[in-house]
Amino acid sequence: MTDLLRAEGTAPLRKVLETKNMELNFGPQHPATHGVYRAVLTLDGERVVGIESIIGYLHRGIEKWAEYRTYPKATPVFDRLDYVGAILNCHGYVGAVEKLMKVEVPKRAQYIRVILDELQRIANHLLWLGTHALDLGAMTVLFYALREREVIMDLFEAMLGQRLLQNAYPIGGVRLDFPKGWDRACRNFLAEFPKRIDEYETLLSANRIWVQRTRGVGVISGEEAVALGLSGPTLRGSGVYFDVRKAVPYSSYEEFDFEVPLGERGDVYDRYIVRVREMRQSVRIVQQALDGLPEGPLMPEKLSKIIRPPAGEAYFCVEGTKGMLGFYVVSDGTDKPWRLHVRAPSFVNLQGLERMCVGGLVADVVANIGSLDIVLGEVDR
Amino acid sequence: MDWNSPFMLTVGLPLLKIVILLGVVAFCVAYTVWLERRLLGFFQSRVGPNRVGPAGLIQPIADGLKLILKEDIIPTNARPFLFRIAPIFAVVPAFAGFAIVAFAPPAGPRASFLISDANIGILYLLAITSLGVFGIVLGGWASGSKYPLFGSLRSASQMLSYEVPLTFSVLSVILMAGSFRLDDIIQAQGKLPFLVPLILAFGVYVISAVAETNRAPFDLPEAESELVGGFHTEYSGMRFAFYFLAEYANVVLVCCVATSLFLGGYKIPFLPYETLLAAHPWTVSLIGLAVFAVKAVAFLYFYIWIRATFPRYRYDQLLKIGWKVLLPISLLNLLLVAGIKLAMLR
Amino acid sequence: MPGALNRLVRMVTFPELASGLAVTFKWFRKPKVTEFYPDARPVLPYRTKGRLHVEIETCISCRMCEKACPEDCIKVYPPPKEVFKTDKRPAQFYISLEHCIHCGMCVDPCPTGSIHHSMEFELATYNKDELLFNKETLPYDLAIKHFRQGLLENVEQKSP
Repeated sequence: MTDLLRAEGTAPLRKVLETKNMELNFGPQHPATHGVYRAVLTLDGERVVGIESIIGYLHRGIEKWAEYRTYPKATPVFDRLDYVGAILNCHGYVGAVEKLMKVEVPKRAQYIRVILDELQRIANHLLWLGTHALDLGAMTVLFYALREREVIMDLFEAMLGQRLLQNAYPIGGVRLDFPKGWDRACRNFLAEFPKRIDEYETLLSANRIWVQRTRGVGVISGEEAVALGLSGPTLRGSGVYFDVRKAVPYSSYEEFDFEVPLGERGDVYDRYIVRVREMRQSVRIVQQALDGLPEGPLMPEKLSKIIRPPAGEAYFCVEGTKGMLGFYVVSDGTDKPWRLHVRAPSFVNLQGLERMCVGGLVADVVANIGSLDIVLGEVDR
Repeated sequence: MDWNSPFMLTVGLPLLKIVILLGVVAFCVAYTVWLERRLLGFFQSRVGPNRVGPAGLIQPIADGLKLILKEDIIPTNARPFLFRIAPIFAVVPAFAGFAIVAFAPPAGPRASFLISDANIGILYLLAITSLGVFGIVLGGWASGSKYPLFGSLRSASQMLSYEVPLTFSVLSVILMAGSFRLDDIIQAQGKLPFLVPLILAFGVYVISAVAETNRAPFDLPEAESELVGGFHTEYSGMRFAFYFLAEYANVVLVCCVATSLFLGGYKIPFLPYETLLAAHPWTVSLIGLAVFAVKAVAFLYFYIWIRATFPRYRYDQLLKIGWKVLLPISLLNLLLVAGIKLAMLR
Repeated sequence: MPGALNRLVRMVTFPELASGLAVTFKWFRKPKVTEFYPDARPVLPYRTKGRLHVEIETCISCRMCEKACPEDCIKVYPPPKEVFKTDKRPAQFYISLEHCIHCGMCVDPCPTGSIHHSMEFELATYNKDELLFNKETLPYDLAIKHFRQGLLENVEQKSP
C-alpha cells in the first residue's frame, strides 16, 4: 500500500496515510535465531528495510581463556566454539599447534582425522538441515535428520567416548584406534545414508513449496560474497569455487577424490543444495579413507610430553562445517600460547545477512538466518 | 417426564442435546490433539506421547489440568477487557458450528443426531465459522505486543481471502444437492459421494479449509519460527487453552463438514438406509454414526499427514494462491456445475 | 510443446507432493526409533567418558591427572614424605564433578591406570555438595575397570 502511494506520489494522500516503520526485536529468545542471536529489524509492514545484528550474548572469552592454559589443556575448550562441529574445531587448533611445532602427523592418524572430520561435517549438516527445514515449517525433516545424526553420534561415542564435545585429537595425532566393529558399523551407515539423503531431497528439493520459499530469496552474488569474506557453503552457494580442502590441502585431503558442489544464483536454495551435495561428497571421502586406511602409528614417535613450541607464529585453517575455520597462534617459547585468535566462519558469514535480508519479508529473514548456518558459540566466542 | 410435551420438544430436548454435544465435542477435540501428536510422532519415526496412561491416552487430561492451574498473565501493555474476552470470541463460533452437523441418520422423530435441522444450515455454518477470526484479531490486537499483532493481521487477511474460494466450492455442492440443508445434501449422496463429480471443488475445499483453520502448510498466523507463537504469544493458562481448543474444534468441524459435503456423511453408497432404518432404527443410526466418525477421522488423518510433510508457505505466496489460483478454479468449477445442472434440467 | 504440457500436467497433479507424502507414510509404517530411556537402559560403548572412577589402592600420587586437567577439578594430596617411601597412596583425593567436562585428559597420562572413566552417566544430584568427591566417597567399581581394560585389549565389542 505504502509502496503504491510512494510510486504515485500524490501529495495529499501521502500526508494522510504516512506510515511509520516498525522496529521488531528478533531474538535473542526466538525460536528461529539458532541460539542467542539478536537482530533488530526495521519493518515496513512485513517488508524488511533494515537489519542490525547484535551479538555477544554468548561471549565467553575463549581466546583469552586459552592464553592462560597450556597447549594441551586448551584443546577441549575449542570444542565449545561451534558445538555442533566440535571435531573440526579441535582439528583446527591442534593443526595450528602442530604447524607451530613442525610435527608431522602419522599417515594413519591423518586418515582417521579425515574420517572423523567428514562424519562430523555430515552430522553438522544434518542438524542444520533439520533446523533449517523446521524454520521453514517442514517439521518432519528435523526428526529424520536427527535420527541419522544419532547414528553418527553413536559412532563418535564408540570411538571417542563422547557424543557432542568429544575432545577428539591430542596434539600430534589421535589417541586411540578404531574399536573393533567400528569399521563395519560405519560402512553400514555410509551404505544406508545416501538413500536417506534422497528422502530429504524428495521432501524438500522437489517440493514446490520449499522451492518457492527458497528460490530467489536472499540472493548474494559471488563478488559480494567474496568482498564480505564469506566462506564455506555460503560462499560456494554463490558459485565461487573455494574449499580449503582443495585450495590448501591439509591432513592428506589431496589424496581423496571428491567434488566441490557449487550453486549458481547464490540464493537460499543454492546454499541448501550445496550443503546437501556436500553430505554426499563427505560420504565418498569417508568411504575412500576407510578403504585406503594405512597401517602405522597413531602418534609421532618423538613428541615430548610437555608441549613447548618454539617462539613464532602459525596460522592453520581447516574447512570447517560453516566455512574457513582458522586458528592463529603466537608462541613466545613457553608452554602457553602468547596470543590466540580464531577466524570464526559463522561470525564472518553473519556479515552477509544484511545484504540478504533487506528488501525481503520477515519470513525470508528466517530462511536467510537458517541458510547461513550460524552457531552462536562460534560467533560470540 | 413427558417427552412429548411442547416444552420438552422445543426447549428441553435441544438443551439436553446441546449439553451432550458440547461434552462430546470437547472430548473429541481433546483427543484430536492426542491423535495429532501421536500420528505426527508416527510420521516422524518416533512414538509421540506415551507416558501418561496407556499409549499416552490421559495426556489431554494432564495438559488441560496443567493449563487450568497455570497463572493467567495479562501483559502490561495489553487492553485488559479485550484481552480477556478475545479467547471466548474464538471458541464460541468453533463450537456453535456443530449445531447443524448431522452425525447420523435419525433413529426416530425425536431422536435425531443433530441439534438444529435448519433449512439454511450451510449458510449458518459459513457465517458462524467466519466469526472465528474476530477472536484471533482481537486477541492479537489486545495483546499490545508486536508478534501477536503480526499474527492477527496475517490471520485476518488469510481468513478473508480463503473464505471466498471456500464458499464457492461449497456453493457447487449446494447446486448439486439443490438444498441448503445439510441433511438433504447427505441424502443426495446416497448413490455417489460428491467427492467424485466435484473433485475440483473438493480440492479447493481441502486447501481453503486448511488455510481457514490456520494449519500447516498455511499456519502463518502462528508460525512459531517467525512469529514465536503468532496471535497467542502473550496468552497463558486457560485463555491459551481456549485458543487451542478453538483451533482444534475448528479442525474437527472442518472434518465433519467435509465428511457431510463431499464424503457422503453417514451414508455408505448403495446401502438402502431408509428401508433398514424402518426395521432397526437404533442399530442403523449407530452404524451411521460410526461410518461418519470413520470418514471424519480419515479426513483428519490426511490433515495431519499434510502437516507432517510440507513446509510452510510464505505470507505473500499464500495470498497469491488464494486469489490467483483457488478463486479462478472454484469459479470455473461453479460455472461447470451450474452448466451441467442446467443441461440436465432441460 | 510436450515439455510445456508435461509441466502443466505436473503442475496440476502434484506428483512431487505425493512422493513427499509417500516418504512420510513409509516411516509411518516402519518401527519407531524412540528409545524408552528410563525403562530400557541404554547400552553404552566401553569408551564412554562417564563419571570418573579412581582406584585409590593403586594410585601413586604422581599428580599427573591434576596437572592435565583443563578445568582443575582434580586435587591430589600426596602422603607425608616418610609415608610416601613405603605407601604411595594419596592422603586425600578430590574430584569435583561440578567442574568435570569429561574430556578424558586425566586418563591419558596416568601411569598406573588408576583414574578412568566409567559408563555411569546419570550424574544429577539435588545438591551441589554431593558432586564433590573425596577419597572415601569416591565411587569405585573394580569390575568396570577390568571390563574396560579387557575390552581395550581387543575383545569383540558390541556394534554401536
